[in-house]
Amino acid sequence: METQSTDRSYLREFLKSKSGVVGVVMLVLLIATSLYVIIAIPQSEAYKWQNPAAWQGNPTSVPPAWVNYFGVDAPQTVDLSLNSWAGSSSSSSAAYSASVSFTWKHGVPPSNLLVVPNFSGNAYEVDVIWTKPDGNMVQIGLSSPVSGIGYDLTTASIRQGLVQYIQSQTHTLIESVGPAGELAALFNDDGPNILNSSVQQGTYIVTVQVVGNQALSLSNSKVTLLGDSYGTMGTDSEGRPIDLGVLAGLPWGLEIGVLSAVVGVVGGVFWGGLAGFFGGWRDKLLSWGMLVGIAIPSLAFIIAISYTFPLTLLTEALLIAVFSAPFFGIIARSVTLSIRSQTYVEADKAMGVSAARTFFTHFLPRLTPVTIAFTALSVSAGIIFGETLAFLGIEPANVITWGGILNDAISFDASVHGWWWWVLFPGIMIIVSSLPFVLVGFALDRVVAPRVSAK
Amino acid sequence: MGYARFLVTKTASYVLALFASVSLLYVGIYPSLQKVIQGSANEAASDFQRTLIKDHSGMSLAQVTQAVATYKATYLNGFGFNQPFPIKFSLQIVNLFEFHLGSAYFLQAPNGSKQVLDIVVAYLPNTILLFTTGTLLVVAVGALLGLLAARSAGGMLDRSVPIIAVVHSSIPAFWIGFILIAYFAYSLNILPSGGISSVPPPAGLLPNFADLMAHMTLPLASFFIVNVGGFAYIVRSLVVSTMGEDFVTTARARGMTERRVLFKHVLRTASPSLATQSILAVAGSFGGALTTEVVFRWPGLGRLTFIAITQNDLPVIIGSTFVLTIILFLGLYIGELTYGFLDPRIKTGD
Amino acid sequence: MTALLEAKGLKIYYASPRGDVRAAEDVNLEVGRGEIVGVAGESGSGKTTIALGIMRLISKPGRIVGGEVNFDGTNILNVPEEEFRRDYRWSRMSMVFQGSMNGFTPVFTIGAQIDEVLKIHGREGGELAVRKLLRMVDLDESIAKRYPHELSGGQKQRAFIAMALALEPKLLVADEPTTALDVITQATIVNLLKRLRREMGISILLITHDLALISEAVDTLYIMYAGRIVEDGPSKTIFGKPKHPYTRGLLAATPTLQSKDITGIPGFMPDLANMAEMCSFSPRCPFVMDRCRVERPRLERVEGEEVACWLF
Repeated sequence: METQSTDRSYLREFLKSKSGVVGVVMLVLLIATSLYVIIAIPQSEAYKWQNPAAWQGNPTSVPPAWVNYFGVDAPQTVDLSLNSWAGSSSSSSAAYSASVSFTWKHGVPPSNLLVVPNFSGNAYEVDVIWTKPDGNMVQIGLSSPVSGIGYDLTTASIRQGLVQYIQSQTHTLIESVGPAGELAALFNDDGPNILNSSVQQGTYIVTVQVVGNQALSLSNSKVTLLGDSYGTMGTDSEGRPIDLGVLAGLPWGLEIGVLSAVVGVVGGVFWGGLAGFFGGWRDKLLSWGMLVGIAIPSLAFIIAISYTFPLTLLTEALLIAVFSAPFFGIIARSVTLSIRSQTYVEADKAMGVSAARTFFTHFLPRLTPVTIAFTALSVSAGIIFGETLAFLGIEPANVITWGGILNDAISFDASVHGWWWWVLFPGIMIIVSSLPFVLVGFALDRVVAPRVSAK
Repeated sequence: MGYARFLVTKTASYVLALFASVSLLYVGIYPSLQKVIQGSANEAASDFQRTLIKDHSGMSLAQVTQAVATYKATYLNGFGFNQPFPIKFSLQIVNLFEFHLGSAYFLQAPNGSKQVLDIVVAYLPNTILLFTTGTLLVVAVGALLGLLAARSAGGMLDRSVPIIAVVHSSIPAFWIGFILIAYFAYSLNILPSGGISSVPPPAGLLPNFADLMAHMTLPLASFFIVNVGGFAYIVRSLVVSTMGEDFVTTARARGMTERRVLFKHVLRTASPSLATQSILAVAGSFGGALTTEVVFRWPGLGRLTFIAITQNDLPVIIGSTFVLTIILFLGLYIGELTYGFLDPRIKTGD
Repeated sequence: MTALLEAKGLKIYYASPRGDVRAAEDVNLEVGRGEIVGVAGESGSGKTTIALGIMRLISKPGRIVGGEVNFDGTNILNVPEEEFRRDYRWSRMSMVFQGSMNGFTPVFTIGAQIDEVLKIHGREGGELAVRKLLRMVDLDESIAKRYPHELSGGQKQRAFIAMALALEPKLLVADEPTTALDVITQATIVNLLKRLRREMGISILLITHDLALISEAVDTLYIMYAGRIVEDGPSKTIFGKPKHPYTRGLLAATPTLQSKDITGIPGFMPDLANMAEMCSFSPRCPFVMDRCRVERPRLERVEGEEVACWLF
């Protein structure tokens, strides 16, 4: 009877807290988004994430597309499909050709050129004749091409062809050029100063010729101009869209937080509750156990353990829970001791009530409000712990995590290169997912705390 | 006297706890540890073989092989291999505590040594420097903030402490480092982006010290921002609840200024609990300190562990974890002794 | 000779979500020089509130709404806080609290705290002064070096009284100084207070719910109920012939060695947030009349004392 009315009044007081309500709203949104992600993004995407080939059609390390609204000239990716193939074939040879044109209105070239020939059969050579708006033509070739493979500016033969073109323009001997130089060859005004001249704006014509030793079936071939921007959150150095990673990481983040929190808090509350309840040598032993748990450097331990026993969501959550439980144990124990000073355990004993019953009927209900407050705060701690481990490279196989994305970011020196989107968005997601739990937890703590210490 | 008894019990408690932790670590890494020891044995055996062949060219191949096999067997026996578990456990644990941490797979210390112990010892001081300074800052400033917030009870400072605490609890330690680097190091270009000293290090004691300070600023700031809010919140709650006690009312009644009541009576009474909370805060912030090192390329044990992870250098990971455990235990132990010193109830043997 | 302390029409309210709780309403009180005055009543009657009000220790959500408190002729309610702290609180009037056992700061020794009180008021401190005060309350000087948790309840109470007397105040307000102590210690404390009055000429305002305790200690007695004084006068008169039904009930409820039954006063105190225009005691009064329920009785002089009851 009494507990019911106090629960309702807790609820009422909680609703008075603005931050608590905001937290709950955010929580609902997060859970809804997470459910959407689980349904809409299948596990296969996670595998795709680890497979670089899947992302070859994306520009690498480019900012989000909306930077264009802020005055940055960052063209989007343009796919040029080659559909109408004309040509002839005989029994021993075949030659086909297709053309496509595009208009380029930007002051900067795209980030990369990708040629993806798609054919069945054997082809000797693929040639690309690139006609610039001023009429000049650049020719590059691929020998022994493989169907379905994307050839870009890092491909040796393409680079060679472009270097030759530059040499023919500047009349000097150049050992090699980087992507910038290659793009200059394709897009800039010709002349001795081709490497520094400006981008030609106008209509470009791309003609692709395929030569094979037999009749080839050509379809789905394309030439892609990889843009300087992509999507809502840009891409990483493999071309993976950050927004996909950020979304895909949500369920795991919430799961590790909630799982570790529930196990950790419940474990800790029982740990500390029983210690305070029993007193005596049992208390001393349990308290010493809490000391052990707190003094162990949890991060280092979990790292070391993960090398022996590879982590899964469950085992990682369990490990995090084991290391956070002692902290809750200490608080639960002191709360229990203060409850003890108010409740008459001896009276119960005298009446013949079993210890277990006393614990469950007198202590646990009074511990419940504090427990709920802890759990909320513990979820956010769990999320951050899990992502921190992922950042260090410790995570279960085949999951996409924000920490993992940030791990890549630091490995590829994202901050040095100024690829802010790679660092900003995953980090913001971590904050966004732990913030509501913190808000709710603090609001609950404010509701519960005055009553706990009330004399 | 009371404190002596306290000292003895605490020390015993901590020693046992350290032993228990290392045992837990042992269980957690058992298979890997055996692998590491086996690898160490193999390496020692091949070194021995080389020496034999070089110095004792008179021995036949069969004799050499026999000698090497015996050598390896003795080596492994020293670690308890092929023996019942209790013996194996004792031998390996003793070896750990004697800091026989083996040699690294790939990494090496600045002086070239491949001994894990040397590597760890080389990076240890930097971690202690950063972590201790950071913790002192957090505790000192956090306690002050919490105190002032409690005193202003409902005022601006009091209301902003929970907000700061919320911020602290939802931002990952390592990420704030990123942001600080991006802004101060790359955008404004006024502080170094990482490491512990410039290359080449400046000459002279003062410029060297200034260089160190410059490099420490951002990692410290990162650690500080993430930890101070939560600690201030705890201090504030503690002080507020202490201020509700009877003796505070009587203290005011006795004619004391509010300032005296707060800074002398309330603070002193709350110090033992504050010390306990500081200890918990220290324990809880350790992980964050390690990852801060990674982000700032601070050459400490955290960064060492990270590099060891990328290279799968298992002996270094194990050795580093072991040393980190001991360090944290030491830190907490000192904290607890301080707490006992502050609480008169301990001194009088209650 | 004017009274040392004179409270006139003192009103103290506490703000609450349900409205103002009227903890003290229209209280008139007088303490003469060298006099021991008792204020008795059950829990919640307002007696502690009065004590805190006199010492200006009422804090949020409570506030003094109206009335005067004259100490040596000056209305101390109008004195600025800083001046009050410097010149009045503890130096002219001091207080022994309910549960003074917890009145000492746990981390400093008794001696250090008494010494502190002396020093912050500009008196000479030092070991000798502290020892003298401890002797005054029959405590051994070794107590000075002890921490509060090392003392028994009775010792702590006496030590606190010593601290309350450190500045030689003219008035000592003792709020339930003997609650939570055993009977023998209770008697000791009361005798100590009587002795202090005899030897130092100090006035004492003694607040308690235990009538038996103060029966031979106080000169004048005030009975409080639901925030008001319902009967007051020389203690001999009241104890000899109690007039207000509440007083009578209180005295009857006090068991003596000869008591065969325990009688209580049935019912509960009214809700101090909702005070109607009627006698507050009427719901529990065995002598209740119709008039009691519609009109509040005022204090009237009757046979050498004052009573607020329609029976008189």
